[in-house]
Amino acid sequence: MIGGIMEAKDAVRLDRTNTAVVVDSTADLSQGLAADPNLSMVSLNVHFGEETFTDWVDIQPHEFYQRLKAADRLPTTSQPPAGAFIAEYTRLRSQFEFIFSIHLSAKLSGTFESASVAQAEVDGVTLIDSEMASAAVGLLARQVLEMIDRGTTKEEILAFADTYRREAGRLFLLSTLEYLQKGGRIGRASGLAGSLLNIKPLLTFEDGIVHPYKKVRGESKALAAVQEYFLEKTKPGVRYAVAVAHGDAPDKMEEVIEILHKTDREFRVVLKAEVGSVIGTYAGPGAVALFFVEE
Amino acid sequence: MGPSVAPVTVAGARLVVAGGHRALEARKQVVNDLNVYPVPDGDTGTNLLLTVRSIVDDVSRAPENLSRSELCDLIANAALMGARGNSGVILSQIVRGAMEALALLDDDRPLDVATVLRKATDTAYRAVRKPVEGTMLTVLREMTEAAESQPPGADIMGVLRSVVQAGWTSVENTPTLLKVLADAGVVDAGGYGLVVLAEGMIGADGDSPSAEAVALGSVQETDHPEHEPDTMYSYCTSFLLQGTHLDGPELETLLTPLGDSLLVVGSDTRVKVHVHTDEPGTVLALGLARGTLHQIEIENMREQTAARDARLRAQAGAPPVVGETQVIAVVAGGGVRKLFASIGAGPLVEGGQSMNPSAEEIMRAVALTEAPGVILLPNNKNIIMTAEQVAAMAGRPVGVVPARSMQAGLSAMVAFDPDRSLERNVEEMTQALSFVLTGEVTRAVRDSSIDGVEVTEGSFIGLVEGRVVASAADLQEVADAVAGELLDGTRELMTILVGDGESTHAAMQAAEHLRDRYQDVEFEIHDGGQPLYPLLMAAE
Repeated sequence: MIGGIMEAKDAVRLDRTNTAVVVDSTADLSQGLAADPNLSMVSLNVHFGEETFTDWVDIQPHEFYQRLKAADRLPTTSQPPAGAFIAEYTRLRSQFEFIFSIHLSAKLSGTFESASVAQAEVDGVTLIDSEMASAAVGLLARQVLEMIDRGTTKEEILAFADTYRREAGRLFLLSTLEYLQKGGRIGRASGLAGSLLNIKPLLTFEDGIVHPYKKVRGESKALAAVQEYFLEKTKPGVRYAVAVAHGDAPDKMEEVIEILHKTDREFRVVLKAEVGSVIGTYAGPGAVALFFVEE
Repeated sequence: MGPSVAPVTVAGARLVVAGGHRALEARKQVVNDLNVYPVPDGDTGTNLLLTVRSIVDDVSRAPENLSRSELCDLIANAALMGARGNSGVILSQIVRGAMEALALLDDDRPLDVATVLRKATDTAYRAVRKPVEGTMLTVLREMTEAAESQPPGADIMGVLRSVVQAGWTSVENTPTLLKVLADAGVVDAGGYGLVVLAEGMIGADGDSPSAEAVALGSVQETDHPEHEPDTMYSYCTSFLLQGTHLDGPELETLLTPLGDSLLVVGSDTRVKVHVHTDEPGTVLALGLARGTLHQIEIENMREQTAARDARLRAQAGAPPVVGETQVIAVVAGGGVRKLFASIGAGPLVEGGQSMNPSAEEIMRAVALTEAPGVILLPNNKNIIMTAEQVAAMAGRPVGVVPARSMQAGLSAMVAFDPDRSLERNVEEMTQALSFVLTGEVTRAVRDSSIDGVEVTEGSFIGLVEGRVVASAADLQEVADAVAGELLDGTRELMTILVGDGESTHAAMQAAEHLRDRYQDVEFEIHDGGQPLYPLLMAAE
């Protein structure tokens, strides 16, 4: 029975012996990489005028933010060509039977499109559009790796990705909207930009693009709003995996973690990331992001 | 001969209203001077006068042949739309109640003053959320009681005179009811203005008609009223028809099916015709068949409307994003305007020097909004009632977030989200208001002993949440006193808007000085350009 065979294939047990995860550099997962043999990354590029850098490979955040401050024109970014994905998929397929390729929102970058072209050329690859960016992708990838660690199925992974897209917490604070706006990624938050009043915008992802969450004035109000969001989207007695990221603002990141600890919620910080050059191009310096999902 | 038959004719109404207007105009300054607060806005005399003027204007333009109930509607509507400031709004509700009662009375019975006044009183009291005795409301009520205590069949003029007399007595009594009046040694400004108005209205006969009044039978050269965009017809057509044995009523019958806003007035040798129609040619032909045409004007109102809308939109400022809800903010000052526009408010209504736009001006802004939900941000305590009146009359979902100052309004705007529903926005924005403490520095316009502070005319005064807290010749000293009360240690952010005028430089210096003094507080100092108030401050 054909139906039966299809089901059986999907129900194949996936684990570290046969499955790998690919992310792009916007997942901001740099630290996990070297450590994990089942994880690999394909880089986007950042361009400062005539110079091109490979995200997380030949430019690291520290240098990026320095260049950003000194630059008289904003940097631009470009997606990996399909060939880069084909190469990576092919390389991994020699070792693993199944590949899950997890990426930032297709509405924010042509990366997913490139990966799609590659996926058509190589067997055994399943694409996942996180509909978000930065450590949100990193957190998703990390949770998928944990599932693979324990042993899972394709069905389970796809179901989890679906839940993640719909329900995971996602909030980020930028110190300015300028980069987001000039980079054309401001999405539905355009109404927040251009304010002459010193507003701190809190943003989120919805339907794969940036949406406004709230506007506040004053640092302490911003932190209070983060805490409020966390409490609203979580329940007591449930455990959460939390990822936080910062762009040239490690102190702000620690303040966010601290404010979460002041609640009664059970969680552990599984990922503390630095925002890479590609995301940094749109977020600008001083950004902090928070993502979380039920464990 | 008094107006024993009340304004049932348009011409009669013009005389009565003109009389009231004239009386109020003559004593506008007296009423203004009765205002207790030494702050330079919220002038009762000006607001009452402007409200009455709207009625005068609308009645002067009214077609002669309106029925009693149509005329009452017109007057009530003119008052509601022309209402400015709290006193103007209360007056408009008084007029509304009076007109409702008047429309129901019998044509051939003498005017039932008591019924009309009682309805006016009830309507006015209902309109005010917390009625205070010792104000316009008390005076009106006591005038009503005087009318009700008259014997039935009494001479109308006599009744009206005793009503006015009761009004004066009531006004004299207001200091015994309101301590702030007694302390300032004045009677209530609104009550006083109301009786002046009433006196003018009943004294209207015997005076020569004012410029606004029109004698029966003469041709009126009106300057072209700006058209409301609600007509279904496209061409505003008007001309003067000259001939012999002209039959105005016959012409009117023939023109009636051709359009609306029809006006045919004149004599048997000169008839003025005005109509909104889609067939200007037919209308002209009908005229040509009866005489010669002069002063012919045909305007395409669609163009007029579109151009006007574009101009108003450009002036008012469209918001950057149109979603579920828009905010209409009342502003004064170029910098303040820019701040509100930059943070997503629009259209904006110009408040003017004394922050007292009419209900109509706010209504026009409402008409320009595209979003399904509209929020009004009055930004002045004198505009809150006007805004609530507009919300009640608008015929579409309009909410009011009761910001009492522009600087408080800015904080409310931070909580605004154009993609959220009207109700949620009103909730969030109103809550944001509760976290702001406001202060202001201005010049006193009169001597006053108020809130425990001695104020001399011309000195700087400092207010916190509308309460006078300091008065001195030196702006810095007053600014310091205000800041001292606002920055009580729990506030981390201070927003200062610097105003326009001779004190701008001193105000800017004072603001910078405050920034240096309060190191733990984040300061945002903006050029607001607002009139009359060198400093507007908000702490949160």
